[in-house]
Amino acid sequence: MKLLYLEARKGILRRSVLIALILFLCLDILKIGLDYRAGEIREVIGNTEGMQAGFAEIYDKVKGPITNETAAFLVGEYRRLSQAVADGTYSRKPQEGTYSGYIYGDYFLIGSYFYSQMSYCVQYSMRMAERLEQERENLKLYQSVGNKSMAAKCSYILQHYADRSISSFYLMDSWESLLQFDFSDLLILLLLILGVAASFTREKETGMTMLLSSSRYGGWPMLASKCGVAISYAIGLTILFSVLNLTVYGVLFGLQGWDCPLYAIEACQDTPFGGTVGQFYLLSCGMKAMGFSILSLLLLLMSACFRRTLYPCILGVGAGAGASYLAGWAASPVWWKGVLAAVSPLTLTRAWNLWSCLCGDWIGNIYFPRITLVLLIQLVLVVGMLWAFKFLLVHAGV
Amino acid sequence: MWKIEWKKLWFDQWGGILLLLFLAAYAVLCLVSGCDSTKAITQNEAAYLSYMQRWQGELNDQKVSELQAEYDALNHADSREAQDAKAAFMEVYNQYYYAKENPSRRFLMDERGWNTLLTHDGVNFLLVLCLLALCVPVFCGEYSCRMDQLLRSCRNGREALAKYKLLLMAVTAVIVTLLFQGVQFWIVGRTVDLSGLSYPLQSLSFFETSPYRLTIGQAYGLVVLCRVAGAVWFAVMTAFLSVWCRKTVLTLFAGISVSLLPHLLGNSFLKYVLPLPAGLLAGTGYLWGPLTEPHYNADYTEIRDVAIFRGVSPKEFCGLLSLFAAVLLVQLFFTVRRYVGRKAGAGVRIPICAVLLVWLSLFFLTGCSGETQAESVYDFFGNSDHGENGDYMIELDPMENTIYATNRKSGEAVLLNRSAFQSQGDIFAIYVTESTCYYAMQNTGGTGEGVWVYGVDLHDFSERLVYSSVPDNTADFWGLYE
Repeated sequence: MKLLYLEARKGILRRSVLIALILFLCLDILKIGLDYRAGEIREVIGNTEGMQAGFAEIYDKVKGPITNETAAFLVGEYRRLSQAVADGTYSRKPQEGTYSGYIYGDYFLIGSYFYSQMSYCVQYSMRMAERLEQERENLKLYQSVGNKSMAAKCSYILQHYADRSISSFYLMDSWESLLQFDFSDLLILLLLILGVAASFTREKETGMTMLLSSSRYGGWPMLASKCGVAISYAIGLTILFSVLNLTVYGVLFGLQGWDCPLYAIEACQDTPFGGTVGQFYLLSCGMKAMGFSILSLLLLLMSACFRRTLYPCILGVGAGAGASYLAGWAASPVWWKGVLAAVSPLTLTRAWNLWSCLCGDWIGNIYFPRITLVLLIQLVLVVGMLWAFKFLLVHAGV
Repeated sequence: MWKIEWKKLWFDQWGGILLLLFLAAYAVLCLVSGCDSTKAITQNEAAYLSYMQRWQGELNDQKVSELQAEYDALNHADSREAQDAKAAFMEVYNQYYYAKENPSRRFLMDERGWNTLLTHDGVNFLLVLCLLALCVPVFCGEYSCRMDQLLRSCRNGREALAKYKLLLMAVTAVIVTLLFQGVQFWIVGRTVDLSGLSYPLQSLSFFETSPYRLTIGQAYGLVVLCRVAGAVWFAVMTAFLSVWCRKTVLTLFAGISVSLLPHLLGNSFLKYVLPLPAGLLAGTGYLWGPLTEPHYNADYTEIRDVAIFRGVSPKEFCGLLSLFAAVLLVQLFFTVRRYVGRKAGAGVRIPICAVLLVWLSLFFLTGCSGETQAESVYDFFGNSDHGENGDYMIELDPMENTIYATNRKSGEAVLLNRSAFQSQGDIFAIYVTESTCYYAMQNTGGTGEGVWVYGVDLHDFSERLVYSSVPDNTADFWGLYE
């Protein structure tokens, strides 16, 4: 523990890193605030006050458990307003008794934000049942012709998509935005470079390596403590930014809907994940922590390979950009792109892409989700990095 | 001293090799990124270029009558070739419509190359990294081995050395930026036509509202100058950060943050007015003029143009340049002072910090929002909805988006595109071999234009993706890459 603390003092618990961390936390809040104000997360926030008031009034009426009353209210209002604007002769002037102040404004609000989302929630279980029926037929056909691989995929679908329904109505745009928010990932990457990239080179530049290698704890214990600190730093940063993001989004939009299933977000209707949105946020934070931990080990390895701090820093930024590009293929249906994405540690930071749709691969006749492939390859990568550390230590005569 | 510093940077610190590596990487990036174009032009490039050769330049009566005649002729033609030519012609015709509103300032031209060079303002990540790789060791290299103390005790090791180092960094920044610009210009020039240097800037429809009455060549020259100035400023800022942080990792961290974060915060206009090099390094936005996007008004009775990029007027541009020059000079001054070990008094530091803080706060709290949207032109492929082999007769029903294979012996019909969890798209053609039925599907899922081709094995009905032109890489580099 003492070694861990000493290593942390050297690289992370420094004034410069802490100042950068505080600044970046402020920047993170600022970025969410600016996006919020510009209406990029919820469009109506960028609209007029009347529209916002109308939105709030309607939302208050319909949010919560889906009942016959809420559904009937929305259908009735949508029909009434559709008829009112259908022939284009509706009044363009402010109207009493409207939600937003204008007839078309009400029609726009109900049509854009509530009606389609409510019909998605209500019809989801029925539509999914139809699709599962199709998959059952597919399973029979594939079994009859001896196609085991396709039958395995059908079985996977039937197992993971059964008994689905959405019982509550909440607007999930804020959750969707939070789950896709990746500005903090860039900040974490930069902070990792600041804290980890100089772990070994700092000692080489000051000639301390020789001294350390001759001490009792200068070999494996020192390496283990450096790895431990790098991983703890990555996990700590991920937790810090995740909690901050959740808090800021919670303050701006509220956390309602956290217990809805993930497929209540329309963009995730095909997700194989059966848990709630809150559980998925925890899962995505865990995956991020894992991805950044592996990336911090990679930065540590780079630091061990060079004598000057400049190179691991530049290479670290390059590796971050390259890993980000490869991670863009996380959900690609093309197999070799999927494999390349699995090589990138940053693919683990893209839980949204990996889980929002059915994305899987086969090995022989076994069907498994893409995340399994990513985890397997990342495990191989970690083992490879540990082997490389051993090689470097032996090479250095420790 | 100059020679020694020069040798240290380019040879001892592997600067030359680093630069070549970065230039090679940038060349690959430019080749992979390609040029701005539309599908109609890409698929009928020969026809588009032949039209351009005929009518490029200022409009005159003869060109107008020829354009009208061609328009009428293509409208009455039914052949497949004529339809292809029409798609390309309509691109030219749209440009003609734009040009005829102000023929003296708007010429007909192939816009693709210049649009690639002048209408993007994303961060040139490789240039920033290259500048950091070359400039950071100039000061930090000596700090890391404590050589600075030795040097400062020499006769020329104080102000003179600091000035030479700063000059070296500035010259390096100029050379590197010009080389990067040269690589980009060369690759774009080899890919598409870059003629029209002497045409008015407003010939490019993107610059319709630009307040500058320049030729395209002058505008490009101005952009290159801005980028060179931005690179010099960035180099000086790196020196400034080096002498204040004294650590390589801190300087790199601060340099990367300063160059990347302005692109992500607020809207794309913000970076042009912040007193940081990001705006000048991007360069192009100073010439754009206001950009707008149609939006409904409050009561949804009419559509109005809403500014998504405020634009920088020539006067504002001059004002900003003066401000940037002042900041640059302050940084130079403090870099030299700090290097030689003199510290600024509180009477100097506090007002400067206060002014910078107020300036930053003002620009974080103001501005406009939105994004530009690219126009897309869709084309349609030839239809093929029937196929057969020894065992099956296969039919595509484009209305239902289904493919049925009917067994010749048993008469049983089997649905081939069975998966209920497949990508969304419209099937528009099939091709059948003895063992496989291939079907082409146009992506309708909103991830980008493109086609998937799936193959269904006609023995065990397994399905596999055999071709994809759908852009499926969702990486946007945390919002830095548009």
